[in-house]
Amino acid sequence: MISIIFILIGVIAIFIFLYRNNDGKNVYKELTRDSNSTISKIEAYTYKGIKKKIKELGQNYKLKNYLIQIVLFGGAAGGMGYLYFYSITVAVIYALIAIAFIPYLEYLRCKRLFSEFIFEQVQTYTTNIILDFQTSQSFVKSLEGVYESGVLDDPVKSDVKVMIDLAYKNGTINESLDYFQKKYDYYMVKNMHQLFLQITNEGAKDSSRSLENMSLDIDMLVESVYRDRIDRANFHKKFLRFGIMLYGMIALIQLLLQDTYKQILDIWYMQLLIHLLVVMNTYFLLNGNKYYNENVGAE
Amino acid sequence: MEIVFILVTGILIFIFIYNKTFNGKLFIKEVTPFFKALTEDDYDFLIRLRYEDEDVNFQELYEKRIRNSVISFVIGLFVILLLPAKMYAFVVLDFVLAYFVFKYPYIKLKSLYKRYLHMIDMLLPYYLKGLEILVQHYTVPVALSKSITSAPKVFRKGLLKIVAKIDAGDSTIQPYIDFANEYPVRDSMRMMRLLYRLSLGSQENKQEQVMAFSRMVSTLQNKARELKYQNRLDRMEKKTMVMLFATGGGVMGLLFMSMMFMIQI
Repeated sequence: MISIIFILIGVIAIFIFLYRNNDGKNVYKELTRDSNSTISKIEAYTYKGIKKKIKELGQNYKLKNYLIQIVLFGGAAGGMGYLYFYSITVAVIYALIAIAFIPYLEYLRCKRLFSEFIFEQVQTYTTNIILDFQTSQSFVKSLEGVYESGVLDDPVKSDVKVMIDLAYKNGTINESLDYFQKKYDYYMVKNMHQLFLQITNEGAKDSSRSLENMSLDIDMLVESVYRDRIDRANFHKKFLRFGIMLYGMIALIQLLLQDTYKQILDIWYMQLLIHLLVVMNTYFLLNGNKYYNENVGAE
Repeated sequence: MEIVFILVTGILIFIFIYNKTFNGKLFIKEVTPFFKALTEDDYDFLIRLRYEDEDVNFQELYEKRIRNSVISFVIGLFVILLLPAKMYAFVVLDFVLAYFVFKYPYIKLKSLYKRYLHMIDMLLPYYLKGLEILVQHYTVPVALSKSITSAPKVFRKGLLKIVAKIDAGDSTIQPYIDFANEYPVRDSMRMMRLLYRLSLGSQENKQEQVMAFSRMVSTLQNKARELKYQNRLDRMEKKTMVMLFATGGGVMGLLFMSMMFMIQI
């Protein structure tokens, strides 16, 4: 036992040495953050606001959905708790913990849906502004046209209204563009605004081909994002199925060991090991779920 | 018995170091030349890139690697002493461990550099798209200069250099080549050559050239996007595999321990 402790101390000591070796300012980390800035576009919104919007869109869970989830999660976790540990207490605790995760999963789902909604709104905004500009030849008039057409929904719609007001108040579009860009940090918005800023400030030049190209770029982006969404959703389904199947591996051990399984349950560390396996698998499932819901890939 | 030996040795080492009878730093300094042969060819380059804005001593960093390696070797020896079975193979393993500790910072630097290149590869088309829009109304040097503030941070240093060179009167292709060399990814050289040609073209032909450049950048951007999405799918696959290995491994461990238990009874 003492030897094992010393070995562990040795391993920990080596780990500390390696870890402490990594000091200094991490330039790369900063750069990596720069490249990942496209991941979360909805940080500015509160969960309350997000939930309200999801409700407006009719995509929120109703009481019935929650009840189904409670029954499913609680039932599965409770059943597993009992069948793996033959203890009602463990089954109840497992069921309660599983039910406690339902709000978190709902939170992740809402965030994903909201991100997807914002991306759709932003692409509607850019595409329609370009289309409108072809006829009006004025950015502010295009903003008004898009605002009044009713193709946009809040919060993007009200932000467009703020843009129009800012443009009239300042006599230039600079502040309007800054306002929208800060709220919607998407490449397509940034590029389109830059082009309109140039057209407005520098004037002249026929920009119809540039706008046409930009429109094609947005189409390409939207197509890729939607295709990727389907791919990820399919992959996510497989991931969940696989993760749930892994819980069943402990059941397989029961089948193999038969009566001996109950005997090993009397040993505390064996019980702990089975708990650890369940917790670990749950952690991986939640982590994968979080990754799927958080990284919607809009840019 | 071994524990007593280790404790006594540990206390003695501590006293020697505390009294400055044994100078660890000096010892590492003196043995460093023996390890010089192990220095990787690109180690200095990677260090320079990693700590570009920081005042770091290369020699000190290298000595730190050796120090950590020596310490892990000594700890390893102590651990071997405590093992119930003592085999020479463990000493060999200890050497391997010490070598790994020595190599680890280099491996880490190398992987960071790979990530850095990957990031440049991903971001370059997006930067070029922004630049292409600016080029529609401004000359290439002006567009480059205007793009600095909105460019991804990683390119800003290179952009400042290229703009400074052009402003200093260098109208050759060299500043563009230097930029491409500073960001050595797949398409940087080709795109910088194209940009240089764009800067040479007359205003009449410029629109056509800009449109062609725009189409190329769009294709690049699309490729980068596809790659990014593929990477995300790969990451999800990796997460699935990690889950399989961790849970599957745990289950195997449980099975093994259960079998041991069955043998015992």
